[in-house]
Amino acid sequence: MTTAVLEAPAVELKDIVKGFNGIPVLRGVDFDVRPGEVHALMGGNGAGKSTLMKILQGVYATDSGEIRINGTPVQVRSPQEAQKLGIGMVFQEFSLIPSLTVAQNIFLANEPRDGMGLLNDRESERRARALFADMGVDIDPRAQVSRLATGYWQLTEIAKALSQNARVLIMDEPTAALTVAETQSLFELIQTLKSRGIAIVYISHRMEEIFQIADRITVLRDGQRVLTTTTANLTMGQLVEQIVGRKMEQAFAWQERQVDRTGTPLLDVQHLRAGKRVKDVSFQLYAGEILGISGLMGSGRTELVRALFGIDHIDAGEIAVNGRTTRISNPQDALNAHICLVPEDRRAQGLVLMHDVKSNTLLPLLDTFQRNGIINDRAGDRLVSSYVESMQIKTDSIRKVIRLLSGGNQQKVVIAKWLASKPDILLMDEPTAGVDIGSKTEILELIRRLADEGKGIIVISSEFTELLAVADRVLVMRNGEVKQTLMRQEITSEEMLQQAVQRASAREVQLTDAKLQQIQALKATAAIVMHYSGNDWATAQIEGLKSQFARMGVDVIAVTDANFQPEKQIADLEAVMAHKPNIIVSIPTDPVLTADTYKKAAAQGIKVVFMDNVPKGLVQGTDYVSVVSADNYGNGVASARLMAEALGGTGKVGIVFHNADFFVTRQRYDAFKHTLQNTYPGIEIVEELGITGPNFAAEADQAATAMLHGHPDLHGIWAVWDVPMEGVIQAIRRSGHTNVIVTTIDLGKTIALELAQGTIVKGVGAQRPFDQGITEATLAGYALLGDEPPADVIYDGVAVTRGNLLDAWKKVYHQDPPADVRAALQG
Amino acid sequence: MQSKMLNERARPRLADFDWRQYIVYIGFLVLFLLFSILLGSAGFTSVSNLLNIVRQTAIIAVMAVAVTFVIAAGEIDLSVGSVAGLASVMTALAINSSVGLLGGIVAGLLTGLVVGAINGWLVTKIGIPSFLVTLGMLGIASGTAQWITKTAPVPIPSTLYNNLFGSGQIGPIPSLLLWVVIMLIGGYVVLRKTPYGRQVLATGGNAAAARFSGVNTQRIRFMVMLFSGLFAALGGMLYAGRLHTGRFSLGQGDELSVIAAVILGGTSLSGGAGTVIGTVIGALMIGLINNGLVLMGLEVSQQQIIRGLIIILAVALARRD
Repeated sequence: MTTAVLEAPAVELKDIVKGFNGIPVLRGVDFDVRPGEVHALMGGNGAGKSTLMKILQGVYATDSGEIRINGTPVQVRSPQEAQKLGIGMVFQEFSLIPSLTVAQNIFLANEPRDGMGLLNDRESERRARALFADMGVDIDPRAQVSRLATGYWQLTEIAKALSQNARVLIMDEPTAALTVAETQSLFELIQTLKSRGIAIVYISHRMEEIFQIADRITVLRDGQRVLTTTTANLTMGQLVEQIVGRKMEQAFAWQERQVDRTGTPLLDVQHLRAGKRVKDVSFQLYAGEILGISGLMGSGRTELVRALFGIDHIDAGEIAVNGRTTRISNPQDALNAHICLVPEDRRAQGLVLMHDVKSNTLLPLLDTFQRNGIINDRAGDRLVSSYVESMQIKTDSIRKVIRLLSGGNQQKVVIAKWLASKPDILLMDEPTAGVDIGSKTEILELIRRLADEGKGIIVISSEFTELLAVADRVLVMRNGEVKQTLMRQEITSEEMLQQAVQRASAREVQLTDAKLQQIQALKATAAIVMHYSGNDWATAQIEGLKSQFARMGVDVIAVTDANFQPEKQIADLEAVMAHKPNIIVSIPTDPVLTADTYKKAAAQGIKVVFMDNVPKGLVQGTDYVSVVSADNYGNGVASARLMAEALGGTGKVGIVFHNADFFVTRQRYDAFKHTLQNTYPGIEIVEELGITGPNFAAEADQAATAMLHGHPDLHGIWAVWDVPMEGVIQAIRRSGHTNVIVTTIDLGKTIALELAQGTIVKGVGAQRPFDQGITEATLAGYALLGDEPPADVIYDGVAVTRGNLLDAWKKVYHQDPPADVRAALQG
Repeated sequence: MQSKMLNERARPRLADFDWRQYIVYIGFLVLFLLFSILLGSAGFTSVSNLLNIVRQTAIIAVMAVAVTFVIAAGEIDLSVGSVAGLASVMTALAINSSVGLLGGIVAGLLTGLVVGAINGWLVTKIGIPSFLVTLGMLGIASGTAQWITKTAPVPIPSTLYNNLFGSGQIGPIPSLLLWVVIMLIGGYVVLRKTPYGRQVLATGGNAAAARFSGVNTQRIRFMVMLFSGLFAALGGMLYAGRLHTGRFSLGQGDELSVIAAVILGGTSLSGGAGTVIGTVIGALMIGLINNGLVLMGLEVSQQQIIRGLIIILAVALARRD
């Protein structure tokens, strides 16, 4: 992260005071942002963030205080004036018109005209294209906005602001609607904008993002600035404390709870099927239990609770509430069974935004507040007021229109309306999405309290921290089914849960004989575009692919090797595309540079299946079929454990890593290092050296020689895969330090022989490239038939030692080990 | 601190007074005063003229109360005028046949219920937008009324019927005024004070959220269309009683006045907010304008222009933000 140079601020807000109806909202706030800087503005509910930004945008006038732009005091009386002063806003709720094209949106109300005064669409397209080129993103200006993924909407918003010559961009929760990949490309864009000297005010509740992107952080609390500092000076815990004004580890710390699972379950779901997304779901929920549901978007988790609440039609299966079979065909049935749902999207599904707090809270309760058909308003007022107080909903009146409340308070109203109807079972879909950290802790505490009262609660969340903080048990959903049920005690880390969520079991990916015949009839062709083929892993991967393609009657027309060079890979891809294959199976050398070429291939109708990694910005379903990866992280962990065990838990270790932005090797490296640092404090990493290729073995040899020279007391060396490891082994032999041991990843033939001899190589985290190849070919087959394949398939790694080498070899290569390896094992 | 703030702000303060919400009442008063001053000598303020205004707008008001619910629920009903015409001839034909007075009333109301049910069914079960359904129904109802009467008027010989529906007086008070009062009170209570009314508003405000709150939004949308048909038929029967005749053309074009009254009254065209009192005042205001402009001696063409301007002005003033 670069810290901005101390330049004059692009915008300076000085001693800003603002109140509404006599209630002070901002009490003398200072804030500035410099050119080329990302300044995060943080704060809880009602801290004054949005008011401050609305003042900068000219929506509100200040009561007192000064705004300076490039040092000159200015008046910002309207959003139009703000725009003229170079202040651009990227809206949280997109301000685009879906039915218009990208270019039409960017220049809306600012359209270039031709000589006759008519709209010049071609000119706006040209300018839009120039803007996007400048931003380094690829969006077709002529595309209709509604046809683009949400990530592109965001980029279009930014382009719109830039088209008006914005020098300061205010981004309010810009990632709220973005996927992880889209967020990453947004961050890349932010870096580009920074380098162009654009000043960015960044508002977000997501801590990880702030630490990733912000140069400085300012925290507002109760209308006052409590902190402005460079990000590097702050830990996440400190930041949270500043925002909330109190310690809050407690809220996110899991407290073990006693749940009695011996009696009749509160909710018993058997073989539920509903629509396309919920295929076969069975589970039990017990009184007093908090059941977490984890899964990717599209795993069927939202659709499951929608079906249980009677929104989506249930096609098959049985639901029993308190042991009694219950039919749920609409929300009324669910409510009668005392099941409530806090829906995924509170603005669209949870609230009538134009109505007040009271009407929203009472909406499900109208029947209980009537006498002879007439609503008892006073009793309703009392009830709503009591919830406003007990849940600390910040509103100046129960008659306040709910649209005017902050996200956290809105969500509390959604929850309050269900609490008032006294449910036994509460389904909560992303209950803290888009909610500030203060409200979030309150909601988590509330969930625990409700469970303590004996309610059964199902919490769906994409945030693992949150799920691990409250859940007693976690169901992992994938592809419409519950794949795993984990007791909270079994889950030792977020990574473990993440892996469980992302892993699609390879056993699910299979072709029936009928499908196989259909594919054979297509007489399809395929190309295999590798990043590198100089190791046994690649050979086995290609073998696996070829064997399965042969079964499918698919002709493999080309196998290419880019030797880790993106330009070479792009050339390979283009050459292959000229032959119009039906399928390309590939591993991208570089996640950014190659992205466009893969998109072009997909646009030609080629089914693209990735090994290990997806280039940035590609969308599953449209740009590619699926990705099949080895569990690189898991293999990194395995190689760390093997090394620690071989060293007896203490010693000095060197690392030879791959010095490139390559997902696969980066993951292994991260996993190896983290595992040693977190689990084996006795092991010290004394040196790390990077290699870049193309001659990996020779470079690793040099690196290891240097390491052994600098640290004669070195006990072990880890190398990122087997080919560099061969160099490392030579260096060790040559230096005479033969007591130094090594571990690596990938069970290459040379390494296998070393392992069998058992002197230097003590362990290998092995992937299963042959199986991976089979699965990739199979997924391409799914796509040819128009079936919907799983987005990600992850293969478990195999931790290989001398003891299990024989079995492991068969697993990895689908054949017996070579004779010399077998001989070495017996010797 | 939280609870204190809450108590302090629980009562609305003068500063919170939003005059825009009351624009229809203010407009009504302003126009009334204006006409009283300008047209006092022309008899505008005479009791008989004021009752005239009520009579002329009562039927619009009756239909508009039901349409308030339709619009508040986010739907629209363009067929009310034609349904009124159809109900008037059905009633008249039935009274002239063997079924008699009671049968006639039942026939009229049943006509409205059947049309309303068909509209509601098409909107909720088939999923056609109410604008299109009722646009089609406008033609169907009007055509049916012309067809079964061969476009001829059908006289109603029953004095009792005529007195009950539209012509009668109780003392000096026209029975039409009573109908309006009944509709006003009934509509107000149902919209403001019953679960059904709240659910109508919630459905119009955000149908998805209402559904996720356990509101049967399909039922609500069906009901508003059904009642709209029913009260459009009542409107037609009032016309028939007033003119002692059923005729297909009665109520023709009223849908526009009805919708104007509802929107003038402060009901949101996109649903979610509605007021029955506003609607009735809105209807009266339209009657007031018509009456005043006639008394001013303006030509029909001029009346139309001014009426249009006033409606646009009123709605413009009532707009927030």
